[in-house]
Amino acid sequence: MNEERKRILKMLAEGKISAQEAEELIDALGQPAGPAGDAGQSAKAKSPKYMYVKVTGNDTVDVRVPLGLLRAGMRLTSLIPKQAMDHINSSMHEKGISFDLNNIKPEDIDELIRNLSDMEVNVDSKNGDHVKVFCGE
Amino acid sequence: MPPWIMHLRFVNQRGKGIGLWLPIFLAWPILIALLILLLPLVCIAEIVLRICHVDLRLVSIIFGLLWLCVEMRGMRVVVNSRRHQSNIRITIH
Repeated sequence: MNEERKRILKMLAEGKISAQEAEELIDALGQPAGPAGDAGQSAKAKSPKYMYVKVTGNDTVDVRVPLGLLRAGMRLTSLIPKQAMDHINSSMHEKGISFDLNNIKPEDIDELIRNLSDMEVNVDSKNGDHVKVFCGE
Repeated sequence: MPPWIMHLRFVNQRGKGIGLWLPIFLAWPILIALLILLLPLVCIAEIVLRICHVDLRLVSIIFGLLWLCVEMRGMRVVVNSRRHQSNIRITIH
């Protein structure tokens, strides 16, 4: 019997928690577990599959884009010739975007996509349209 | 898995709709055959470009574009216009 289970039973015996609460706590302990496995599972579950763009208002637009498409597109950027890439970077710099496309490495894409699950963009326009961009399953 | 079917659906203001199932899976064998036929030419073009010091990896770009097409599976676009009272739905399965 592990420590947590013993502690719950002790709390039940002392009358600090009810039998119902003890059962719930023990059930919670019984979830498939191991810290490393848990982290792996949640990371896997958190990895979004699609990016959604929803526009509501006068017209309704609902777009679902597979994130694999983003991955493929990002990998294609690595095939852009150096001269063209320099031209893109300098044009972006002129527009005030200090972003170097050369810094995007294919190995970073998966991490980038995984972190997109926390992203949500909400835009309310004056004409009553609402735009929501988010990533999910 | 590459996309197999594209589903297009249009509903006009009178509520009449048209649904089209486009069998993309029929295009894949043609595309692959075309790719196999053109690949030697593309390879030669890439070698020539390399000799001319032009950094354009044609073979990689073609396969990258092919991968882009493969990853389109699951894409969905739904547009519902109140002004024109119409509905357009495009789904790639």
